[in-house]
Amino acid sequence: MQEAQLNRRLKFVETHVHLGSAFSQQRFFEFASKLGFNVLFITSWEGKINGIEVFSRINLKGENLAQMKKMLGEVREKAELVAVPCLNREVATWAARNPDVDIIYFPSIEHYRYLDKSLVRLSYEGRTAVEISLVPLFECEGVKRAQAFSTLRKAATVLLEEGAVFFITREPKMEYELRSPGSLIAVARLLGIPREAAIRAVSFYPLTILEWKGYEGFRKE
Amino acid sequence: MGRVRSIEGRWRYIVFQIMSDKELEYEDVARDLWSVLLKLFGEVGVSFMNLKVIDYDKRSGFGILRCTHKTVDIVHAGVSMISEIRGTPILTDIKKVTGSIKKARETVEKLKIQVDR
Repeated sequence: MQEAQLNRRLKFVETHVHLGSAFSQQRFFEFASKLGFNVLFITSWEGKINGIEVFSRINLKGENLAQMKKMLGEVREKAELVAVPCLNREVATWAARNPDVDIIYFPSIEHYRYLDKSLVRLSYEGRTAVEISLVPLFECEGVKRAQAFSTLRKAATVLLEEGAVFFITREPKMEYELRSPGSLIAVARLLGIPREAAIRAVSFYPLTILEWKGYEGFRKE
Repeated sequence: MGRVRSIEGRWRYIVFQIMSDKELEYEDVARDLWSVLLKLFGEVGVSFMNLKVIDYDKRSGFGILRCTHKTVDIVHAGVSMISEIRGTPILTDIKKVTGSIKKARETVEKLKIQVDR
C-alpha cells in the first residue's frame, strides 16, 4: 500500500533537463518542486530557484572522438557536470573510463548496443555514471515502444548485474514532460528494475556523483 | 462474522492529480486512461487490473482510481505514461495509495484544502 509514498527524507534528482526559452522557466521549477524534486541537472544553467538546487550540465557535442576530446578540454572547467553521448564504441569506451567525464548517455535507442558489461566496469573505474533515458517509452507507440522496452530491459539487466552507478531520466524539455520521482520509479519497474535500485537511480546515485565532484552535504540515506 | 472478501481480492484506491492548462471532463480522463493502459498492457493485462475511475474533480484535477492490490505498480506506471488528454498536454502525479475508498476521499479533501490555500 506504500508504493506511491516515498521517503520524504530522500532528495530526488532529475538528471537531464533541457530548458528552452519558449515556455515559463518559473513554472517549470514550480512543477518540479510540487512533484518532489530537490536537485536538477540542467543543460546550461546554474543557481538555485524555488528551493531546488540546480547544477549545470554540458552534453558534449561532436561527431568523433577527436572532437569530443577537444570540447571536453574547453568545457571541463566551465560546467559542473559533463555528459558524453555514446555515439560509437570508441567514444563510449573513452568516456566511461575518463575521470573528467561525469555521465555517459545514449542519444537514441540504437546506441544502447554499446552498453555491455565491459563498458559498465570501465564506467565504475572511471567514476562515471550511466544514464538511462525513458523518453522512448513515453514518446513511441506500438512496435517501436515494444522494441524500446526490450532494449532498455536488457540495458537495465546489465547495469544491475554489474552493480553500476546509473540514473533514470525522463529528459524533460517543458513542464508537462516532468514526471515525479515516484512515476519514474514505477516506469523503471516495468524494465525489471527493483524498487530499491530504482530509488537509488533517482536519488542516491546522482547525489553520489555530486559528492565525487566535491559537493558536500547532498547525500543522505 | 468476518468480512467477506471480494472475488477479485483486495482493492487499492489510487489518488491521482492531473495538472493541465484546461479543465478536463471525467469522460475524457477515463477514456484516455483506459486507452493508454490498453495500448501499454493489452486487453488481457488490463483485465487483471479490474480498473475503475471512481471520481474525478475537473476543477482541482484530483481523482480516484480503483484497481487490485497486485496491479498497483503497473497502474501507477500506466498513469505516469499519459502525456495528453484530448490534445491537451498534461502531467499526472500519484498522490497516495489507500486500502479504502473512505481514506482515499479524505486524502482528496485534504489535498484540495492544501491547493486552495
